[in-house]
Amino acid sequence: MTPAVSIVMPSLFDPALFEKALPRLLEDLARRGSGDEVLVVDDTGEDRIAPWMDEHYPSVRVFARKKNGGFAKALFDGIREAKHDFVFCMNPDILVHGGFLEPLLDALEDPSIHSAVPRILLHGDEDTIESVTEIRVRSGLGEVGQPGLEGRADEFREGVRPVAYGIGGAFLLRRQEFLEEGGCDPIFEPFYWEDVDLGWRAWRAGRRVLYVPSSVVEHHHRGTIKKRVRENFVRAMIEKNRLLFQWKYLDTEEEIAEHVAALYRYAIDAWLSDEREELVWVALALDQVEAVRKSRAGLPPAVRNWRAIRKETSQKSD
Amino acid sequence: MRVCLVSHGFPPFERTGVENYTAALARELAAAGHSVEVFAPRHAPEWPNLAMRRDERDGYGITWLATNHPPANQEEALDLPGVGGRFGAFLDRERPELVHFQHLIKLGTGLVTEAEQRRIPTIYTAHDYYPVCHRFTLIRPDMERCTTIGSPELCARCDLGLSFLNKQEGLGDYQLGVLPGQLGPERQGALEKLLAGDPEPAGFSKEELDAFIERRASLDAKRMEAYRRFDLILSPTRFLAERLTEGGIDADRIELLTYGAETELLENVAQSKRDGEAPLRVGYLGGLSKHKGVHLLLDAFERLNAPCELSIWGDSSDKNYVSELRARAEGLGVKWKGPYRRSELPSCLAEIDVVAVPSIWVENFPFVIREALAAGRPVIASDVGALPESVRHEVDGLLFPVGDATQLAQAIERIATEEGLLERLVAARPHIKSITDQAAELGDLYRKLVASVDAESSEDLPDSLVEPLARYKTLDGLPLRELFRDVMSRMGKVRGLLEERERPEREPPPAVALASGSKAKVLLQDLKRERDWLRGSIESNTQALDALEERVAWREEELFQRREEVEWLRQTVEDTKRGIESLGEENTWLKGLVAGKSQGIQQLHEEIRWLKDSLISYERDIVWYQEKRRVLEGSSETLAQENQALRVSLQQESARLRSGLRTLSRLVDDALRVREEPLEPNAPDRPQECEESPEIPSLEDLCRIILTRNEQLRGLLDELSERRRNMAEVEDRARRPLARLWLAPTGLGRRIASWSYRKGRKAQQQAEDEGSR
Repeated sequence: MTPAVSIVMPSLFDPALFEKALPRLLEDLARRGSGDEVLVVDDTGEDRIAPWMDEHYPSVRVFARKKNGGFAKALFDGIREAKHDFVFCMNPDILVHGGFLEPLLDALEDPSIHSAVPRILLHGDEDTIESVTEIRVRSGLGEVGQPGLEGRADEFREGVRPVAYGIGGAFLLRRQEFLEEGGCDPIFEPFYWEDVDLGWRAWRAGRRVLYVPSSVVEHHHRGTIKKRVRENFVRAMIEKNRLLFQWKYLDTEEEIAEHVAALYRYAIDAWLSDEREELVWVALALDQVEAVRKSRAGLPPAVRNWRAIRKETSQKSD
Repeated sequence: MRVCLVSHGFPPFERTGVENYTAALARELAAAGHSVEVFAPRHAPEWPNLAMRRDERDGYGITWLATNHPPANQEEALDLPGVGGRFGAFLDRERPELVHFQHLIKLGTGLVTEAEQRRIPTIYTAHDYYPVCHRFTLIRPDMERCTTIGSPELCARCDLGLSFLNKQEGLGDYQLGVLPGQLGPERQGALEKLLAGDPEPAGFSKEELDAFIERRASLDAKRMEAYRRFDLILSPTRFLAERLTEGGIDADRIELLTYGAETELLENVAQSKRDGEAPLRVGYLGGLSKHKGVHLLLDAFERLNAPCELSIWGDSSDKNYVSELRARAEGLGVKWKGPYRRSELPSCLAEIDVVAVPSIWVENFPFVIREALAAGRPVIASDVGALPESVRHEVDGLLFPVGDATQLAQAIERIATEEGLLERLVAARPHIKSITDQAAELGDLYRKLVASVDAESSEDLPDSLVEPLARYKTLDGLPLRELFRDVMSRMGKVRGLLEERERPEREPPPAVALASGSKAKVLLQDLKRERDWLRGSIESNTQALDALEERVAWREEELFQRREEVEWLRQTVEDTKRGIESLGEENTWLKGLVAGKSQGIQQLHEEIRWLKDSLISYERDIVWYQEKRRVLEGSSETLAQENQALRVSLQQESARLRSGLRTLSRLVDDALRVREEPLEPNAPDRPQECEESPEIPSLEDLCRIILTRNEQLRGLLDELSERRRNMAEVEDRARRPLARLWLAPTGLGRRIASWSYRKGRKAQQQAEDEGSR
C-alpha cells in the first residue's frame, strides 16, 4: 500500500472548476484507499468555499485564509495544514488520470529527489506536454523552455527524466521539507516563477526534480487571474520574476557580466524603440533588489552552480 | 498631474489668440507643478510627414507633429490620415493623465478616439463654433451671420457657396467669405440665390446640392459624435454654450469658464492720459480678416468729426484684403503698424486710449478685450455674439450695432468729446482673471475629472494584487523618458548585487551592452536600409507615376475621343434606325409601286399588242385612204362636173324661172285686174289672193335648194382636203427611217398604225356623223 497523500488545492473559488476536477480526483483517491485527503485553501479572504464544498463535496477539507495572499502563501498554508507527509500541489484546473499518484510516489522513494511532476497534457492534448522544463538563456536573459510544447512531445511520452522544476499546478513533494525551507520565496509574489524557484533551489542544494510521464494529468488552463486584472499586468509580474530569478541564482562571473550587459541593452533598446513595457518590467524588478539580496544571502552553499544545473536539466534531443 | 494640451498650432509658428493662450496656459500649468506636454501640428517640410520632434521650453514640453500633406478632401480634414495613430504613440510615450484639447482642426477627431481607447479623460475648450459649424464662425460665404444651427441643408449651401467662390478669380483669401461688392451684381446675385437654395444661377444643379447635403450631414454627424465623447467641454461664454447645446451637445457636460489673460504683462502699461486738446487714440489689434470688420472701422474713421488717431496692428493670410485696407488706411492718415509680437503687446496698448473690436461675426471671447481691459483700455465693440458678455455698455466700454459704421463713429466721438467718459470707463473696468488664476482653476478641474474616471475604473482585486498593481500603474504611467531615467539610474544596483567584488578594470556595462549588439541599432540600420530602399522606390514610383499620369492623360484624351465616337455612333445608329424605318416605308411604297408598275407593264404589253394590231389596221387604213383618195379625187372631178352642170342648169333654170316669173307676174297682174274690177273698182292697191301652182317652186325654195347644195359641195371639198392632209401625214411618218425601222416591221408599228388608223376613222366617223346631222 502506498503512502497517503494530501492534495492541496489553493483556490479563488471557481465552482465550475471544482465540479469538473473533484469527481475524478475523489474517485481515484477512493480507488487507492490510502486515506488520502483533499484540502482546498480558500484564498478569497472571505471564506466562501467551505459552505459550497459542504453542500457538494463534504469529504473535501477547506482551509480558509483570513486574507487573500496569493498562490505562494495559500500553498504554504495549505501544506502546513496538510495531514500527510506527501503533498500533491494541484490547481483546480487540473484533471487527473487514474493512477496518477503512484508513479510520483515511487519517484520520491529516492530521498535525493526533491519533487516529481507528472506528464501534464495541456488541454488534454497528448501532443502538448507542459511539464518537461529547462532554463534557457538568450542574449544574457534567462527564460523557461518547454520543449514538450514545441513539437517534441513524442520524446517525452516515456522515460523519467530530470527537469528544471515541477510545475506548480501539479507536482508532488514532501511536506516537512517544504515547510523547513520556508515555502516559496516571497520575492516572487504575487504569482509565477515560485515553482521555478523551488525546483532550482533544490537542484542548487544537490537535490533533483523528476518528470514522471507514467503519471498523467490534464491542464485545462482557464487563466483565472487574467480575468481579474489586465493581461499586461500579469505579463509584467512574469517578466519581473524572470529577472529576479536570475538575480537570485546567477553565480558565475561570465554569466553575470553577460546578464548585466544584457540588462543595459534591454533598457536602452526599449527606450530607443518606445517599448515601455520592457522598461516597466525592469523597473519593477529593480524595486526588489534589496529583497533579492536578502534571499540570495539566505541560500545555502551551492552544490551545483547555475551553469551545472542548466546542464543537468537541459532537454536537448537525444 | 501629467497634462497634455492639444492645439492646432503653437508659437512661434502660429501666433493668433488660441495659440498664444495655449502657450501661456502651458507655462502657467507647469509653473503650478503640473507636468505639461503640448501636442501641436506644424508644417515642417524638412521632416518626414508625421514625424514627431520634441522641444522643451518654460518648464513644459512640446511635441511637434509634421503635417506636411494638406487634407485631400473634407473627410480627411475631419480626421487627417495617420495623425490619430501618431497621437496614440505620443500618448503611450508621455502617458498624460488628462488631455485638454484646444482645437481639433489640422489634427482630426481621431485624437479623441486615441485618448478614449487609453481611458484618458478629455476636456475640450470651445474657442469658436467648430463643433456646430464646420466654418467655425457661423458666417456664410456672403459674410452674413448664420442663425440656424444643425441644418445639413443650410451648411451644404455654404459648402456649395464656397465651391462657387472657388471658381471666381481675384478674391484673395475668400475662405471665410466675400464682402458685398467683391463679386459684382450678377455673381453676387447668383451667390445669394445659391445660399437661399437655388443653385442653378451659380452653375450648380439641384442634384449637386442634394449630394452636398448628404455629404455634409454625414460629416457633421461624425464631427458631432467626436465632440459628444469629451468628458467635459469648457465654454468661456454663455452665448457659445447655448449654440453648442443647440447643436446637440449635452448641456450637462458644458461648463462656463472664462479665460485668463496674461495680466502680468499688462499691469505696467501706463495709464492713458489725455488732455482736452489731444486727439483720442483708437487702436485695433488682431487678425486682419474680413469678419473682424476692420474695413468698418475705416468707414467710421472717415466719418469722424472729432480729433482722433487710429492705429492698426495685425496681419492675416488674406493678403488682398490686407493690402486694400492698408492702402485705404494710409490714404486716411491711419497709422498702419503691421504684425506685432506678443511681447510687444504692452507697448502697443501704451500707444492708445481705446481699443476697437468692430467684428461683424458672432465673436466669442476675444483675448484682446481681456488684455485691453487689463491694461486699462476701454473697448468699443459690436453688439454681436458674446461680445456683450465681455464689454458692459456704458460701464467699461461702449457697444454699437453690428455693422453700423456711423454708430461706431459716434461711439468713438463720444469718448473723444464727452468729458470724463473715458476716465469713467477706465475706472469701472472689471478685475481681469490672470492666466495664473485660470491655471489653478483648471488644475482643480483636472483633478476632479481624473478622480472621477479613476473611481469608475477601479477593479475588484484580490488583496494580494492591490499593491503590485498600484506600483505597476505608477511605473506604467510615467513618461517614457522618466521611466528610462529611473531604470538607468538604478541599474547599477543589480551590478552591485551580482558582482560581489569590485572590478574597476571592467568596461562600463552600457558600453559592453551596446558593443555586443543592440536591437535598436539593428533596427536603426534596418530602417536606414528600408529608408534608402523606400527613397529609391519612391523615385521609381514617382517616375512610374509620371508615366502613368501621362498615360492617364492620354487615356483620358482617348476616352474623350471614344466618347465622342460613341456619341457619334449612337447618333448614327439612331439616324440609321430612322433611315431603316423610312426605308421600310419606302420599301412598302416601292412594293406598291412595283405592283402598280407591273400592272402598268402588263397594261403596256396589252397596249403594245393593241398598238401592233392598230398598226396593222392603220396600214390597212392607209391603203384604204389611198383608195379613198383616188375615189375622192374621182368624186371631186365628178362633183366639179356636176357643179358645172348645176351652174348651167341653174342658169337655165334661173332663166326659165325669170321667164316664168315674168309670165306669172303678168298673169297675176291680169288676174288682179280682173278680180278687182267687180269688187272694188276704186281699190287697185288691194292684194289679190292667188292659188299656188304645184309645178312651179317658189323663188325662196329654189334659193334654199341651191344654198343647200352649195353647202354640201363645200363639205365634200373640206373632207377631201382633210383626208389629203391625213394621208400626207401618214406618209410623212412612214417615210421617217426610225419609224420605219420600229414601226414597219414590228407589232408595235403595226399597232400604232392600226391605232392611228382607227383614230382617224373615228374622227372621220364623227365628222361624218356631225355632217349628216
